[in-house]
Amino acid sequence: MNSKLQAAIKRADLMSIIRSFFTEKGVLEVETPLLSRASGMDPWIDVFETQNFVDGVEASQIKKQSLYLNTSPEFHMKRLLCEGFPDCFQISKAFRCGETGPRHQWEFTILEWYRLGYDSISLQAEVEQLLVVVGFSLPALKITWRELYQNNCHFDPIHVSIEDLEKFIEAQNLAPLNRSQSENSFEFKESLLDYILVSIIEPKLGFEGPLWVEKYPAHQAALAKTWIDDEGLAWAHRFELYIEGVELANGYWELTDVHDQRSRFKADQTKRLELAKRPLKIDEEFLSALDEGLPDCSGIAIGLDRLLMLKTQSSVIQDVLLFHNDNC
Amino acid sequence: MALGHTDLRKRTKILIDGQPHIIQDADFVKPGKGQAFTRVKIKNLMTGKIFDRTYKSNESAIECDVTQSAMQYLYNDSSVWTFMDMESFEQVEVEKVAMGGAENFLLDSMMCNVMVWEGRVLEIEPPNFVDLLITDAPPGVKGDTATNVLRPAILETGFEIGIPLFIDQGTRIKVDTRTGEYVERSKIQK
Repeated sequence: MNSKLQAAIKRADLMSIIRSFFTEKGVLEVETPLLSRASGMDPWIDVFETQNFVDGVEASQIKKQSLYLNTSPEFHMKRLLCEGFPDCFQISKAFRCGETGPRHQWEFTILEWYRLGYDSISLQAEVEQLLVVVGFSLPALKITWRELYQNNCHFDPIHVSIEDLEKFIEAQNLAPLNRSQSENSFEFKESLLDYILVSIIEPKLGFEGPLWVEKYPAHQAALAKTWIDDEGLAWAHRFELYIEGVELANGYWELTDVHDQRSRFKADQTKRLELAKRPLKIDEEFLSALDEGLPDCSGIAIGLDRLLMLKTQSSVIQDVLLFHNDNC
Repeated sequence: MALGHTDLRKRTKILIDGQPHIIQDADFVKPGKGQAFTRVKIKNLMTGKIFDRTYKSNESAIECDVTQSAMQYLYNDSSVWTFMDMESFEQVEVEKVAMGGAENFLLDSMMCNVMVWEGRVLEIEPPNFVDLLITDAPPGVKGDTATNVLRPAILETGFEIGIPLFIDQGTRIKVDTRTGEYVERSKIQK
């Protein structure tokens, strides 16, 4: 059979397995907008912007309204929870400018769901149930972000110096990174740590079974709750799943505090300006929903194209897509 | 023109320190949260030197304006290869570093795609497939009938290639110039 048709059939099978999994658990399938008035503000995610206007009208009369293709369904789904919706899931397209590679496409498919009253551990357990249903083997293992570096690179990412990171990169025969003018020394160290993560560590993760990476530093919390440990270090309730070197899922015990959320948006905005990116307006609809109250919950997003890659032993994401960035 | 790191794809030509380079391989990687990196393997088109470089997501590169022309191969004196531009009928001399291995597959009057930057030839691209005569091929070991075993042979251009056991000296074969590998016995034997 034609391999493209096979890919379509495998995708359809996976979608139907996922839908039954959640239906049996009483989790409601929802559909939220792909096109929206505000967007996510993560400084490292670039948003597709488009305009709502009627063509053919004299230019001076046109009031163009900016709309954004969503980078994840997160804000809309949380707004539903704030309105009192029950546990819900969604299979949705998400869009991120410029992302093209063996595991990235600017348009991709996300499975995202939220569970009221769940913390990180209970949501991880549910993801593992889903993994079994779609054909992966357990048990899953766990490691902290700090241990990733300690175990794989033999340095402590909290205390290591920039010089030692640069020496490590050289010893691994990796091309060096340049420090950007906009980067202070803390940010440059973060760049070096991220570079080592994606180049050296990630390719080794999740070969002894699914691997949860958790306890990320608080500045990488994104939209997760944070806490401070006995050493005085701040950490995030964020967790990522790796299988066979592929980063498959990103979850949070969700931040519910509207003031914290607003200050994270402002920090993102400042960072965007430092990076010479266009400013984006803060999603006030989302913030006012949070102000009404987001119930305690955890949520996670799984990259379904990557899940299909793993299930079909494909080395590139293009193999599981019917059309991709170079032929769409 | 400035190129963002996501424009850095295989075969993109860029200027580094004023010299033309070509990207041979590009790999886009990104952590779950945080910035993306494009790791590339680059060849300096003037020196032939190959090296790795990583671009962070806010770094850019300068595109190198090259033109592609169809040129006919005329002759060589083993240090310089001479071509004729089929539009201007000018003769162009190309040094070995720019030949980049294309000389292994060239026959007289063969048409090539030639990359030129500021009047200087950077790269010669012969047709993807060419038919070449085997001028020397020592016989294979008797009894070794495995189908995937190759034995060395010399082509009329002097290039050494691996051929299957059933192909004899004096046969014309189709060669993939991008990999330097045997493809099949040529349809036309003359």
